[in-house]
Amino acid sequence: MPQLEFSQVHSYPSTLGGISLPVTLKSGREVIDLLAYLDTGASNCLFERKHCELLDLEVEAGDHRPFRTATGRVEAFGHVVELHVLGLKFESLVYFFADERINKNLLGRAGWLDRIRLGLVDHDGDLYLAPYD
Amino acid sequence: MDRIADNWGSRTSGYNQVMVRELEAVFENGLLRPLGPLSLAEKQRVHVTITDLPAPNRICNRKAEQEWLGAHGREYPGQWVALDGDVLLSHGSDARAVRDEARRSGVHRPLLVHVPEEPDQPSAGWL
Repeated sequence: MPQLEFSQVHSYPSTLGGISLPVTLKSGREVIDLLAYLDTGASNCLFERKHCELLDLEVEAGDHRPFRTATGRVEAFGHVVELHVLGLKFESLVYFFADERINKNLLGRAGWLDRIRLGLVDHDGDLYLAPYD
Repeated sequence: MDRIADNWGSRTSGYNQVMVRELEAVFENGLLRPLGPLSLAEKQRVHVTITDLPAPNRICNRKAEQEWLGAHGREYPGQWVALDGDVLLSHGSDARAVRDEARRSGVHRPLLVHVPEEPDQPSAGWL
């Protein structure tokens, strides 16, 4: 049986309706601290439009990409930022929703899940993390 | 910033018997606070030599903020809230104004959260 080793353990609350993690986004001299949800079904990391604006990035100047959802599609724009989660830092292309009414922040596969090892014991509310190496 | 005081020691320096002690301290609000016991007479003057120590590698898990959101988030549906620990620094409908008000209170990096309109509803997936 393969063995996995982790460097961080994070206890997430059961009261927020998902597996929430504190995230820091940095671009230039601006920094924003937010909560995002683990989403293994999201192909990329996606954040609210307002966070892009607070980083002083021009949303529509980024890489335009539509995303499929359960109810249709949403538009988003990609920007390269520093993504910090529980002490692990990556430079990643993350996407920001074009529609400011979408208030979701999602840690998805490209740019985050594909850079780490992840363990989850939801019964205990514990998430285990290590950089992929 | 809290540190464990683990570098406490003392030695006698030179033939004039001046006591030299070493301990860690933290600089807070313009004052150095010792992180260990320090037996000095009130008003005693001492000579202080500063040696920088690396910042401890602490991971901020925002636990207090998340507990606050679980307990109070439903009181602010649809609003942006700026939190520092279990303290609500500012809230409102304009994210930038909320962030800036929090920074004016002295917290440069608050946790900024957009509370859902119906925070108590279960999720059927994120999108």
